[in-house]
Amino acid sequence: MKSLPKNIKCLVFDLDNTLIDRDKAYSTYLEKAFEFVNQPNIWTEHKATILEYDNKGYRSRDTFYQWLISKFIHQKLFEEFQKKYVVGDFVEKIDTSILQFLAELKEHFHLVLLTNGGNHNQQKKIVNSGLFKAFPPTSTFISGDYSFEKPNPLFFHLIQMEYGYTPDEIVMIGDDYDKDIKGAHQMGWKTIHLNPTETKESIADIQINDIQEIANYI
Amino acid sequence: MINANKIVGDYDIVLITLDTLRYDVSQQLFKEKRLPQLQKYLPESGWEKRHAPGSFTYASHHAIFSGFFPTPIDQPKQERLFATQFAGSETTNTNTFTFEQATIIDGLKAKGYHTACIGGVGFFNRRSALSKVFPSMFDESHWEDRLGVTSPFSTKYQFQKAEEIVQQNQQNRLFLFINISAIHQPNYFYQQGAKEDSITTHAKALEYVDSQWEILMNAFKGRPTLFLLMGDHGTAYGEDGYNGHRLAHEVVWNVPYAEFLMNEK
Repeated sequence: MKSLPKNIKCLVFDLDNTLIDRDKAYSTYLEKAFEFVNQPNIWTEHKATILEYDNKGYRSRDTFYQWLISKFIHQKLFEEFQKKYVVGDFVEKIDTSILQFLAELKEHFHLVLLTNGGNHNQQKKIVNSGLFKAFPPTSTFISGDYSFEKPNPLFFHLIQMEYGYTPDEIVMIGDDYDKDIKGAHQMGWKTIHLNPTETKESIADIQINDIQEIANYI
Repeated sequence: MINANKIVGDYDIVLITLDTLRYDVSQQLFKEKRLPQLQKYLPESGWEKRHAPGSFTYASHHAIFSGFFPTPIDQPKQERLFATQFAGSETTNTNTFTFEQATIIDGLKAKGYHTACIGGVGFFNRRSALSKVFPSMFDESHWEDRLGVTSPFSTKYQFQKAEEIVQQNQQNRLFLFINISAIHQPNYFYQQGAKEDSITTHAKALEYVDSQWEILMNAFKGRPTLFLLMGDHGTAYGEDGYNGHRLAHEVVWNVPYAEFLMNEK
């Protein structure tokens, strides 16, 4: 079995669909939005189509919302909803065993969160999921606080600059092959790809299906 | 118009030079709403177009530190906010804070201000006699690699340093000078995949500075503060065959300017 080098000091985690179930929270967010605009039946009827078009968040939000408004949802009321709520409001507390697992990892490694998204939304996700215990603000980097995001090398370089780690001392753990894995790989970081759909010809050092499998490699 | 005589003594004063920032680029970004943080503080019309007092950092900062901020293009004789006493000056009036000393820094020191400098480009790095000239003017000065032009995150660390200085000077009136280094060459790293500096990466660098702006605003939360923002000179990216600065071309001499009060008394 592969294992990571012994000199690893820092584990950098992605947030959405790596540590929290973003898709579930997003589905709840849309359900509440349709209730808010008094169109709950449309959600019931077209939920599968809408979530398929969302494509686990990989589609640009501008494109997705333009499509949603043009086909299904009342624009002005939806905009009102968006002013009141963010997806992070609907994130559930993550499994206690994962929080315990992160607490154990923290005894041996520096844990850092590197996430794309707006500050307010991502902060809500971190708080509501309970992840703030593992990732204090000093170890949390949200792209909305900068003018760049993953896979821009600058966002990864920021971690090196902030803590003084060399690339071979850092591991990136994430679900997004292009943003997390390729982004970190280009910096010379080790990578752990969570939930890979395609396991062949991956540049990831390790592929896992469950976040707690990390324990097998360190 | 701000009356500087009502500011000095009661307000902190933050002077920021956005080193090498061009007017055309800064105003274009403002119009395209690509400066969401700065936009909260700039007037509705955006940046004011002014003429730089010099064509490179060393020359411009000597002038700026003596009260010769970039000159309003439409009103070159508009009264200045700060001026050292100078017989026959046509750009001072009752709104001008006039001091005996040769620089604003010494003038404000004489009024009880603690003066601090956060560099910046090479002229602030204290690595040579020349680059000690400006930092030595202040009560305290700071420069390290991560605040300099080669650090892609210089603004973040500059503003965090400002936070520290504010924290340490809760009881003092503060004159804080920051020379923003991010926009000065090299700036290619702000555009993913770019290998060379260009007007596009210059703009991206300003977007980066904007993204960090709230760190500075939060540092001064609750403190009455006058903010003065200005380019010290622009730079050329091939216009009419010119590259760089320390030369006379409109992309070098046209710079952005803004001033605003926060937590007004």
